[in-house]
Amino acid sequence: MKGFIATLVSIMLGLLLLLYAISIREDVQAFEQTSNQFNALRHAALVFDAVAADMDRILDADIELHDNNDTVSLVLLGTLPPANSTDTLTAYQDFLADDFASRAHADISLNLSNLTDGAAELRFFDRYDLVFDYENETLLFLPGNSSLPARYDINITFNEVRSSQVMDIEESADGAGINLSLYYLDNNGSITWDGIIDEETLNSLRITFASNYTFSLELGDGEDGEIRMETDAPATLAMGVDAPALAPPEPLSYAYEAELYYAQEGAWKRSRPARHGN
Amino acid sequence: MKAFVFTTDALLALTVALLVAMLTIVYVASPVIPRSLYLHQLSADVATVAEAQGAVADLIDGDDTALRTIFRSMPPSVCMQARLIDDMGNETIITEASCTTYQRELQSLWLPYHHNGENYLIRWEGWYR
Repeated sequence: MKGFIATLVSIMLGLLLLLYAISIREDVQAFEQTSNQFNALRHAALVFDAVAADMDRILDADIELHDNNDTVSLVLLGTLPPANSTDTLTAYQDFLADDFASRAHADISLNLSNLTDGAAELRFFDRYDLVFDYENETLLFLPGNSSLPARYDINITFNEVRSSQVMDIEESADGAGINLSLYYLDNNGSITWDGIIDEETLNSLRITFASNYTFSLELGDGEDGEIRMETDAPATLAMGVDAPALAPPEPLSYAYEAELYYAQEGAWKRSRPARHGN
Repeated sequence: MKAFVFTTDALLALTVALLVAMLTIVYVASPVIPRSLYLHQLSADVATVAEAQGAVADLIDGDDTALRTIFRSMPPSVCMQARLIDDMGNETIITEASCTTYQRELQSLWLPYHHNGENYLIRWEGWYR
């Protein structure tokens, strides 16, 4: 009788241990699967960041975003006229779909149709658009119908000889509008303007160079507060835009009007490649 | 009736045996994944920092100083390596000093990189010494 009970208890304990081992093994397998998907998702996020950074470099867009409590700002350092990067973008698209996808064992595709149709668009804070219109040699900043920027800093430099200039920038009559700080420089010297402009009124600076190149800056023509810079002469540009803080507060970011799809190990992500600020 | 079911010493022995068996199961089955996750996270962090600090661009331009500095900031138990491949298939491999061969739990991730009109692949690898 004693042996029978001892055997029974031993078998039951053995079964208990076996069930316990199976349960742990299943937990580990579930954890491994979750872990692989977690890694794949992390990898996807890194790839999206890397692609957005690559697009900055391809479009020669050096952009900084800052949050100063009551204002947010973007700073663009670049060159004019906007370059046509279609070939480079297309080559990059192929590189991702072929070389990179093969190495990373991932499925990746980049839809660039909105960047290669004559203009490359970026969207800031999901409310402002910056357009590199390379077909018309124009850079556009479009505030849209959302909260109007508070300040523009425009600093542009040409290595050209000026033959004529027409500046038509007026102070806002009621003192309301956008604070503008303009610094223009060429081989003849500088033109500056500081004050408040009416965002609904067309203000402009038009330059003709001895080389027959031209430059025009228009503010407020089109939609309220719009900036339009058109030139066929090479120039370096530093442009800053200050705007009211985002409400509700959210991380600063800008996104390219492209669509990136990435799938690996059962995890996938589809969105615009975006860069994030400080 | 003496020792009809179990004696006390048998119960004690059974308890100890059960504990040992359970500990053995837990030890054998315990996942090494948290270490792998940590390693993967480190590799990702190195990739992010290297891109942000321009170390990858420097590496492409032939200067590996910044990348090696980042590698040196890794925990002593971890080795890091970057493998850069250009569009001709040429490879440049930078490994943290004193890490020669793979040891345990290799984690890696591939990222694209565009520099001066050329596309590059970079593989970030991390493993435990």
